[in-house]
Amino acid sequence: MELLFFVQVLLHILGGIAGFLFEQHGEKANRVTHGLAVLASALGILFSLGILFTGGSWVLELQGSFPVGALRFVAGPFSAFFLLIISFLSLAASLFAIGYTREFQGRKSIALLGFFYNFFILAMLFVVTVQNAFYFLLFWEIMSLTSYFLVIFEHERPEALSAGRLYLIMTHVGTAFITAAFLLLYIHAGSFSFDAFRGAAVTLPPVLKNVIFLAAFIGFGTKAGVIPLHIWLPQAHPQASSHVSALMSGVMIKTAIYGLLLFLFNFLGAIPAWWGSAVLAVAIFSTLLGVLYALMEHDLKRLLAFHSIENIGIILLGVGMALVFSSAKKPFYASFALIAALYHVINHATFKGLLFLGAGSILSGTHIKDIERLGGLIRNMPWTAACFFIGSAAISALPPLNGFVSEWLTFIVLLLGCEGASPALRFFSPLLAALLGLAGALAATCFVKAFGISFLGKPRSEQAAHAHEVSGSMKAGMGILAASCFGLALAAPWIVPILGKVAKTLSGTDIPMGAMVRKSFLISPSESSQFSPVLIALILSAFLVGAVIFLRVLLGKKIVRICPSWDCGMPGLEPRMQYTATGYSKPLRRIFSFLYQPTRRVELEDEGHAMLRTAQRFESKITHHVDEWVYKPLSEFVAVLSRKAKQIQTGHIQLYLSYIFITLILLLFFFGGRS
Amino acid sequence: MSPELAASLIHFFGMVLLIASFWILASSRIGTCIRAYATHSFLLALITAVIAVTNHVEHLLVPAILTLILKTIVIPQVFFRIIRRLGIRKEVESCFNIPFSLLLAVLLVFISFYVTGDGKILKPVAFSEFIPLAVSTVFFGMLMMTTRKKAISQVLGLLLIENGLFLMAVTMTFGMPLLVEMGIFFDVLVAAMIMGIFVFKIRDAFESIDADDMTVLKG
Repeated sequence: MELLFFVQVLLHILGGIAGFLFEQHGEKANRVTHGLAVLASALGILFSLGILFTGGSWVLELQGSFPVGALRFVAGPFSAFFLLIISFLSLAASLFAIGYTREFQGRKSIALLGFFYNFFILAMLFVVTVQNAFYFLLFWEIMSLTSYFLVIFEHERPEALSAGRLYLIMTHVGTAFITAAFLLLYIHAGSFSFDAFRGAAVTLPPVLKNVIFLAAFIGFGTKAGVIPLHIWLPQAHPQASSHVSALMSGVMIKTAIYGLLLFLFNFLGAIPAWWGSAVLAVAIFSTLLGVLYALMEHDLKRLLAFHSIENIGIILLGVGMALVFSSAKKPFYASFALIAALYHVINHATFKGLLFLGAGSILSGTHIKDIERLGGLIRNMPWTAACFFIGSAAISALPPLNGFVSEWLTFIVLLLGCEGASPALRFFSPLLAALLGLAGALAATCFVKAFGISFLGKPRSEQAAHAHEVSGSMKAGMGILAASCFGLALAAPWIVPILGKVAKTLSGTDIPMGAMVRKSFLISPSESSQFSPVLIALILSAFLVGAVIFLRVLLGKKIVRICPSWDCGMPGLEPRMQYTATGYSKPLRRIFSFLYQPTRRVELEDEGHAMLRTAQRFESKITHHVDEWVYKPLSEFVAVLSRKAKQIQTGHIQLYLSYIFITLILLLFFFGGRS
Repeated sequence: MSPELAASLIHFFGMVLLIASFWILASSRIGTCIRAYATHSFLLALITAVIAVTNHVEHLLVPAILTLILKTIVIPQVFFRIIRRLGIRKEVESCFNIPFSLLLAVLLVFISFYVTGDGKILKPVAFSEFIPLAVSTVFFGMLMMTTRKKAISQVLGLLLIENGLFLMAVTMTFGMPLLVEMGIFFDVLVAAMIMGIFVFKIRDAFESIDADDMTVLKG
């Protein structure tokens, strides 16, 4: 079985390099590099499914002469779960890429794109399997750097470069914190190996434990894009090519969840009570602010990026409750919370991947990112529209799609907080559930906007009117993900036990599966509620079929009349008469104006008289508070510091030499002076 | 040669060596500077030879001869050629005037005696009195590199540092293995050549060998 993994790795390496053997800008390079990635991912899916179903694990240890311990890979159920997500999404994304990167042909080096793409996937695969802190950081860094190069792949656009720079800075700040956390663990455990960390977890002193927790949470939180560490995410994800955005949003930020779970449940021993509350606080802020900012965003990919922040928040709600239950000694509830979080990890990967690929299809069909200029695409791009619709419904947590299942689980977990947590949380966790409900409703609003404005109505621009449907491989890429949005929902009673296995390797407690799954029903641990995705799907489709039959049989065809719609007495409907995205989201901008603090500017031009208007310009902006309050002062502070530091950089070679000279003399005084 | 005589001979040469170091710093013309460096290297060769003879470490004779040939004759000749071709007749330009740099040098000698006095960082096997001398030679080289303006003086400073390190190696441990010594000599020779070429290149690029002009390279 391990042969599958070796071949997967080999194929990714080959795929990364082989593109250069052919004409770099041509179709052959595209087929080879992305085709090999598809093959590799398919093998990866088989490998990880094998581990998940048999419950075994795969170990590879390479002894090296490097003094940091052996390079050890282990793929147990927990790693295999993440391997599965990575391979699964990269399968769809690579398929999609075969068609999508055709637009770069002759313009950019596709071999180079494929190189970074393949090694990006490879680095993620290694990150979730490696068992040594040093190599973990190495692969983590490779993952960050390759994704940076993918972000700036279209470097002729200045916004790609500046987004890339921001990403590079933020990801290294995060890596610095992760490194600090690992080094503190290393000092305590005396080895870089994860097993040593696990062994030394019980003896961690409380202060050190809290410091490591904070460092890891900040470090991995930066990668995951939790508010307030999110600023790079809505900038960088939209700048990459869409299939890469899908991977970054769908999988890369999940590697941060992997690392965080590893730290919280494996390396740090018993969990203090306040960690759960801290994680929950950050999670609920990310959830709400993520979706609220997404609502005001009219660039499709940026909108999706903000939704990634929201969904990371939802995942962390599950993780936070797992922490709360662990510290309250409720292992069964904790495992249930972990299952909810892990379920949302895979669901978010699926539907966010699908939505990003859909956005990529729109981009390749129209070359427009701004939804205010789209419209009516459903006629020219029916496949894309269907897939995007499924993705939208899934992310809005509508049954019978997968988003609903994991959000239902998260709700149950939050409501369980009433009985299993400290008094304060007994009060707050239902509140969190209510806020999660609000976030779900807002997400639905946002996707009504995103789908409605882009696909329905009349085209608002020339490009949108002449959009064309995407090629077969792109449809296939989206189709796989759309189908699995259904599959992951309907198969929930079979998936939950597997996730139970994964959660068991983390929390160490056995979960009585009989208490959680009965036939096709998922049951909450307190037996207070249960639901069956299959049954819901059946009821909903029965209702749908019933409605169709009812209309057909009772009313026949006679009710269909084709006539012009009423146009208020104007001569014909124009695209300008439609709802705009700005207009649609206006009520929410009003309701949440305390948060958005919108500013608007209206400019009127006329020819000498107010009645003779020639042009009007309207501009509306919202305030991103975190940017304003945290990052602006911070960047100014850094700039001031750098200017100060620049003063010692005169460029005189003698001065640099004398720095060395003076340092040497001071060191000699310090270590060698007469005692 | 009796051991006492040898010891006092070595100490005498050591003193002269220190004086030669001062001479390098004190000379106001580049030509004199190079001559002083040659003298310094000559004394170094003498010290090495005496140690080799009196302590019966004959392999030290090889570095002694090499020092004599390379550092006393070849490298100074290279430098003379460079200054002839560059047409430098001017005095040595320094950030401080010469009396002040001599004062600094005296201070550095004190420092080197102070920091190496109790053998805490450097534990000698043979001539513990030479350690402060070697360290102060290194300091002088650094002082030369930091205060002089012409690129050629900086090269001289680097070579002076090398002399100091060599002195330390010879007096503390009776020299390193022969192979290492040979490698170091070869390195020094090549370094002198390369830096000579660089001085020409710097002149070509900036039309002077004033290191201050290199501030334009700053970003």
